[in-house]
Amino acid sequence: MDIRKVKKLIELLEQSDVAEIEIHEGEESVRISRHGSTAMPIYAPQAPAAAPAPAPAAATSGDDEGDDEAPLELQGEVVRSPMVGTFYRAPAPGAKAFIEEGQTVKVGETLCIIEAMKILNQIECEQAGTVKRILVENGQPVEYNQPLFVIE
Amino acid sequence: MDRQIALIRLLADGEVHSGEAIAAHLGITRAAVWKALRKAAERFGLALESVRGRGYRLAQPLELLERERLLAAMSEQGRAALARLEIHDQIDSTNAWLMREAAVGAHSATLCLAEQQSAGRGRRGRTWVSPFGVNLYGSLLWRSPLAPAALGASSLVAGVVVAEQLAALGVEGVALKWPNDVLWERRKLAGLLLEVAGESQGPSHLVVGIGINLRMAAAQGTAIDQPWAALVEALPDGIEGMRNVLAGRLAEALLAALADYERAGLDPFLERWSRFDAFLGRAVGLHFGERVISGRYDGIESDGSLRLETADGLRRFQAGEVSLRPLVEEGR
Repeated sequence: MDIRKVKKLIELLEQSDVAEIEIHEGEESVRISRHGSTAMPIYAPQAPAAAPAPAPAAATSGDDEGDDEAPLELQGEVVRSPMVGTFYRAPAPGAKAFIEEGQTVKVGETLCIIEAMKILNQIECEQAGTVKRILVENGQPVEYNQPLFVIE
Repeated sequence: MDRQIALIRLLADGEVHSGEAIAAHLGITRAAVWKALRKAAERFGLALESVRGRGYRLAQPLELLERERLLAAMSEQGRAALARLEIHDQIDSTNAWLMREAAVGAHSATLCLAEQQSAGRGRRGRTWVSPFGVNLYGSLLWRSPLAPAALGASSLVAGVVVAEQLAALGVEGVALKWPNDVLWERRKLAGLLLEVAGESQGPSHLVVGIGINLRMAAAQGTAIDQPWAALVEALPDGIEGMRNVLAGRLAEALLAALADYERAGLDPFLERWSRFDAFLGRAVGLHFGERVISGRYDGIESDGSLRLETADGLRRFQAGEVSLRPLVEEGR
């Protein structure tokens, strides 16, 4: 699903009194809910069962649902955000992006930076392969466990 | 060491040095002294005075970083906790240097300080203005078995440590702005930038970068895009001898605090942070790029996130690009 569309949905939700919306589009789905007292988006694609979640903490809502219809688009290693923060593809504005789609990556290579509470977190590649998809746009907020990249 | 730095080291004491003495010290001709002085003054942004018939001196003495003085400001325990001390005359950025060193195996508790940074960094491509010898620029490496995501609140811990050390020097009215800007009279006195890398389940390495304005002159800080303060303004009795002392004490306190944080989390620091909380109960705007969320600032959550009482109820924010300014200061 186009990230701009998701953004639009979030804005729609924020301007309304609706607590949660879920949209299915082909084989992908997105659910956005006002989580507790916040209105932060919970982006919950139906991850393929084979994709290991890199973070140990409790799964966010929606994670366990819809295991039966794994989207083809997210096949391969899905790199997820280990934290809530802001996603950056380059070390500084205007600088060259760490990685591009189609590029091969090695273990330990920096994929992106997620900034949270003024800490720049370098997200490292934990499995070598080819970057199939970059799922988040530069400068966008990301949720815990949100898919960032697909590496195959 | 290059010639201009050797010259500045010679003049740092603020005393008058004769042209002959300078020439002999640098191994240059008497005729070349003036040119060397002018170039050094220009490069380091320092004001030079010529004393007729006697020689030259710096308008303002410089307290350069000295290993022995810095270590003397630490307790025995503190010195034992420090693995390595690196002092550079010039560096691109103490954070960048330490992240590179960490990648090739530098030990935890490595401290890197520099007299000047050529590419001092702030957040998102902003520059940290870092003229020679007049401020403090330093970074500390901390290795942790924890996952990078578990180190998030260390950002606040480092802020508390800086605020406490400045208060201990006698600065009144030190304030913290979430997550860790250190303010004095609503102006930025110190800034922190933390970087972390590691495997998603740990171990990880954290670099805590700190810049504190000590006696930067107004002309040296013109490129700074926000109101700033220097320590010398906040301490009426002057800051002579404080540069090395502050660096040493700060390193010791930060090492102890990071160890505490790793063991006990943010809890022991919440009350300490709140003591310096600048905006509690105030109307603020939170900036996400061009988007602003208004509300009443309600302090920090136990995980270090910011609490904001908005029209939609209480919300918590963690994202780092949030900026916080009192609404009365807006309208720029």
